[in-house]
Amino acid sequence: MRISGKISLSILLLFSLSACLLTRDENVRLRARREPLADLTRKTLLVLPSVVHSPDFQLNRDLTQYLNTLLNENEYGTAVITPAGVTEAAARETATLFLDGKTPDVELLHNALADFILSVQMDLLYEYYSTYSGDDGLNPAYSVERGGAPGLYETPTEWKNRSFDDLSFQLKARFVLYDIHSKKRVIDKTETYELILEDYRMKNVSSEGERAFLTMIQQASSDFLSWCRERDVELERIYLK
Amino acid sequence: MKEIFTLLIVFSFITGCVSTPGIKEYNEYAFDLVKGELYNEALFYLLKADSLAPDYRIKNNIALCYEALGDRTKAQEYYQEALKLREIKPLKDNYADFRKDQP
Repeated sequence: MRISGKISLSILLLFSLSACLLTRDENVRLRARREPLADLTRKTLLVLPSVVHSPDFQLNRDLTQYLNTLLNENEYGTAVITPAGVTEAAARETATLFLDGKTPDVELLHNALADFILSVQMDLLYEYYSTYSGDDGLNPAYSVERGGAPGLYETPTEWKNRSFDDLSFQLKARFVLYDIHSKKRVIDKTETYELILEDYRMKNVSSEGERAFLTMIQQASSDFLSWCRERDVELERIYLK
Repeated sequence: MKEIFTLLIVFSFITGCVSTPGIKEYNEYAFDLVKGELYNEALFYLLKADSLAPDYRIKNNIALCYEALGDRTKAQEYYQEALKLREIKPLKDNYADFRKDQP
């Protein structure tokens, strides 16, 4: 009787364990279709001067002009124009008002031809070590040289210490697109980008930083244009079982 | 005999806690469909399961499908219904990610 009791208990334990395993939640990647947020096809886009916050980093490039060049190369046949007949300070002030959630008097921009107004805010930041140093996980931003992987004989501690020789460049880009005809903000999105420069002491931080920020601005501009067409996005969610 | 009877009661209690019969099968089948990106088909079985009994897992999974299909209003509705039934971390995480996501 005692033996059968033990067997029953083992079976019960086995069933409970298998039940737990069967009810395990699963991470799933969903492919979601996204409608275009604005129709830029053969429209005119008035781009206001970018509001750039770069407390610690000086770039020798006009980012507004760089962004305009990138936006001009679009697949929608959109003409990109800049404000005419107003001072740059006034145009920048208008851009700031848009970014603050206000709708300024857009007639002041002499925008008779424009269909949309775009205001962009770019925050350029950098840290003396990468986010990698925070935990043991791989950082996808580590793709510049070593692809985020440790060296062949590198211990986790050495790998972690290595991150203190790195610089993390970050771009936080906010795009606000205003539709002049419907008098509505059709896009207000913020995206963050990161690039890591490894062994920064051996490199020219100024030129490498500029290169990193320009690459990230290129990505941001490409993302902005992608929001204006039908697209698929990947979402990570937990399926409950 | 007494032990076997107790064992049977405990076993049926455990299986009963795991899921209501029918709901689990629908949910499992829908999971394979979700993995295959067949969200409309998965939704069909999940809504069937939902009609059997209110279950936070089913409601969460329905919300996922609506999210993938781009119906954010329905997704929000089902996430909130699921959270009313039970506030567990994976569910709260899903809802937080849903709200954070900018279409």
